Amino acid sequence: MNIVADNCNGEDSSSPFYRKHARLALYHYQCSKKSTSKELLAVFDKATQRQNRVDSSKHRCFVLMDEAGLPEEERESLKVLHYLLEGHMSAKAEVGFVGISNHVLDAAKTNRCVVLLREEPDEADMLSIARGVLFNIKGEVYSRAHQVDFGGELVPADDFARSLCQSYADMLHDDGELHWFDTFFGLRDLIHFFKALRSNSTLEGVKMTLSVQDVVRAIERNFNGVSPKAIRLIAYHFLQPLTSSNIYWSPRCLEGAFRDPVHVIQHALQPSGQVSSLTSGTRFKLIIDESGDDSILRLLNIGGILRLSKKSMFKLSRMPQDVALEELRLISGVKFAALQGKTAVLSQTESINESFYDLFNQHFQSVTGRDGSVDLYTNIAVEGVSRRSLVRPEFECVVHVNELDLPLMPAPFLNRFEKFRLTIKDVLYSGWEGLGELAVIFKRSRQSVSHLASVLSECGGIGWVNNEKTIDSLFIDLLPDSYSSSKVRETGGTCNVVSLIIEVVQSISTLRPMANDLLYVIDMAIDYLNDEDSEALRLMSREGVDEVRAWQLVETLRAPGADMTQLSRIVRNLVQMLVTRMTVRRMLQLATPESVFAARYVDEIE
Amino acid sequence: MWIHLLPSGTFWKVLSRSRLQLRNCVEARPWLSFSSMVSYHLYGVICTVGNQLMPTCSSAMKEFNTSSVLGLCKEVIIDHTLAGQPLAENIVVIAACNPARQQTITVNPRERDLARDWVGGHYQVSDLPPSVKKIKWAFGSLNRDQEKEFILKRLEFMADGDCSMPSYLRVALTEFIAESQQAMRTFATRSKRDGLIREFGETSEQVDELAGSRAQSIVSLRDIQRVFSLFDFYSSYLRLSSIGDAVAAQTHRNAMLLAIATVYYLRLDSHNRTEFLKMTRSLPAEQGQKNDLQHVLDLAMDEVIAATEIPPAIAVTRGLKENVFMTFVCTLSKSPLMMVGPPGASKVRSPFVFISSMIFGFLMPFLLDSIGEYCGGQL
Repeated sequence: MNIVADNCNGEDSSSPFYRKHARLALYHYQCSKKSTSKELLAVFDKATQRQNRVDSSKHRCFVLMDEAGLPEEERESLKVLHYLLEGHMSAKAEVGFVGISNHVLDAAKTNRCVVLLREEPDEADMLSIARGVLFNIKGEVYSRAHQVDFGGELVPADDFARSLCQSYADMLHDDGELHWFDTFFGLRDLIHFFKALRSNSTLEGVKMTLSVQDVVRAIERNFNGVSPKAIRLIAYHFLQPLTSSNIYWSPRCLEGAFRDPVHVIQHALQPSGQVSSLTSGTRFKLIIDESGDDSILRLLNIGGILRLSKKSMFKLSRMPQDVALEELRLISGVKFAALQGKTAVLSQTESINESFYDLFNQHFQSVTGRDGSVDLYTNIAVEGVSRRSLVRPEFECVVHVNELDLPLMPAPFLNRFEKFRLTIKDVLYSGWEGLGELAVIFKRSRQSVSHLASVLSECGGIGWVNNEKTIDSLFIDLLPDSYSSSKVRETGGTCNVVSLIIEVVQSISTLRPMANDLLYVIDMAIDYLNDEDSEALRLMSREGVDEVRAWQLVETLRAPGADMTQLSRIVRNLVQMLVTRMTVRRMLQLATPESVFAARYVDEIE
Repeated sequence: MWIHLLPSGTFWKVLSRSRLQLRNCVEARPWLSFSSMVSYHLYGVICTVGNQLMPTCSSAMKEFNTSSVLGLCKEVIIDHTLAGQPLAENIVVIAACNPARQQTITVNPRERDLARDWVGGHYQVSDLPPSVKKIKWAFGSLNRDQEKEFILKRLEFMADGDCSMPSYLRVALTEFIAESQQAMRTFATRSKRDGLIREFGETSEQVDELAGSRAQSIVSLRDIQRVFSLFDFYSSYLRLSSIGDAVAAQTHRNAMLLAIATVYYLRLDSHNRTEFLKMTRSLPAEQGQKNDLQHVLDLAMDEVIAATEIPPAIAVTRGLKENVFMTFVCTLSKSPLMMVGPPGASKVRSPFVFISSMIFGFLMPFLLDSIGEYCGGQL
């Protein structure tokens, strides 16, 4: 609209061509759930006052009301439209009106308007979209890819596009396992999926090359935010029609194709080249937190994936006092972050999300400065009044929502984001992946701790919302910031077994065991290990271990399929027992004295 | 609230549309101050006409059952008092309200945002107090024949003196509009019924009655008025070359087809659009004339799109064409437009595509004259 206003100045336009046309003045109103009739009236009054002051043959004013379906009907804030959409005795209104809604409004308003129903695009329209997004190659010559090399098989481009569109349409109308698909995903997800396919592909003339992996990556970014099983099902629906009929496909075939969710988010938030969503043409991100207590945000911050600070984290409290002031502060903060090109992380901002709909939709107006630089502007609404705000291309936005609040999120809001779903378990498993084979130690330790927790939970515990989540949290706490590889031992000699094990544990976790803990563990190990290993352990305790050899063995423990010598087996068992012991001790701090007392005869406690 | 004074059969309009927003009135104070204003004007009239005549003051309350002060409204209507103070004897209260039809809520509110239900038909109103219900009178709407008569009279009024619209054409176009109104109600009844059966899980007399009552409000006299307004817009001001020569009978027919497409056809879902086209093609037409609504609409849209600058990254789908065309027509003709569709259906982009095209002047040359004339005129 800035460009429109700058170029079309009626008789004052620089170009003679524009002087013959009317100036069009758009008054934009962004509706929200809390829109009031006063706000609406103010916008119309502004438009009407302007229209009355000017020659209507040369100036036309109209009001564009976006998301007209959002205001809660119980508040009847749109009732004022009954008077504004028509004049006295059903005469024409003074200014024009265009309203946009995702659903039909009540009969009193619908009756006063021409209504245009825009359904989901049909097959022809979707194919047209697919062709344009997937295959139009912009360059000096505007040409189109004619063929797709998909996994070594050449497919005509139109057939490839048609197959994807048909798969999407089938999932939209699925009544089975994907019956929820149409209320969670929409056309924006499909279009961005096509865009992702195109950026993942390689182009050689009129041939586009894509692999199964490329399609999976595109699905990970644009049809995510659902359970792992669901995303595999979606991938299956897209991929199965594209492959030869003699290859049997099932969702299980895709087990190894998907990355773990944390890596997907990490790649989405920190892509190579440090480009932002705006620069790369992708959507902003939405993280669905299944933890229930915002732990995921904290964990992503600790893991360095999200940088949270006072200036980047915007969270609304649900306390009733000073709500309006807090909302204003938050909106200002986000505007400032956009202006500065920083990252804004929004959490619990459901009440003001509508203010940012244009921003979330990445609906920008470009203004070229005198020096040739291009600035982006978007509408950010404050209490329904939209104002143009500058947005730097480096701006990134991440919205965090709790899984419990997800059913209340309207479809127009969800469609604007790449969606990702994270659980505590996802973060834990992602952390373990970095430890290689050493993760087996923690997994086994977790099993032991889980078994004990199930015994204790029958007698009650405090601080345990859910057994598994609490245990996962305990083990996440053990994950090191980064795995520190062993110090190179250049000098020979023997080292004490106790100090060796303590160093190993400290290098692979955040635990800081004491020597007494290890002595106790060694005593227990001597009793529980087989005879051969027990004897070797007694010997090691007396005489020590060759330092260089010991550390070399420790390093090999990380490698998959490493040969398990006696020394490495003993070291691994000792580390596992030590980790289990210290984790159980932490867990017992959460248990009530009554539950510990009641379970005192359980061997594991002793 | 409107105030009309009727001293002995003469209609004097003293206050034109003095408005009191009932919705925002949570106290009696605004009512009382409004009442004072009424009394002031009444006094002025009495002084003018003399004390022999006691003018009857009728106050009309529109949509009063959307008010948040329903109790106050009941007091005015039933008890003839306002905040305990009796109203003057010569004040007559007339109240109008919409029927109480709640929106059917689906289990998942997001399904509502998929724009699959084009019927609606609900009114967001409160239930009337029982005492007001007793005196409620169902005004109803025009029946089929009355509607047809209204359309014909309106058409004759509009075409009065215009030799290019012979009487046979007026009758034919009347039939067209009347059938379109009826078709919309039929489609709405069927769609609503199917939706209610899905919701309740079974069909019943109650479902049929509910579907019928909601479908009744899908079109009204306002739609007929809009058809005429747009008919005038297409035939007199826009002058699309696809409509044809202004003096030919087919031109009038094409203008009417476009108006009907704008008001009725483009409001339907794909299945009902097909049914609507069948209906229009089955209507009689004179020799050499056709009722090919789809063809006329396509030509008109293509003509507008050809002159519109569309950014290269946007696919010119049928949906985009319809969006741009409707924004173009409704903005120029000052007809309010409501675009309803699921997220991501290019509803927002189209107005901006259209606006940038208008401002950058890529529209066809005939607009140079048409806009000036049309905007300056009054319908």
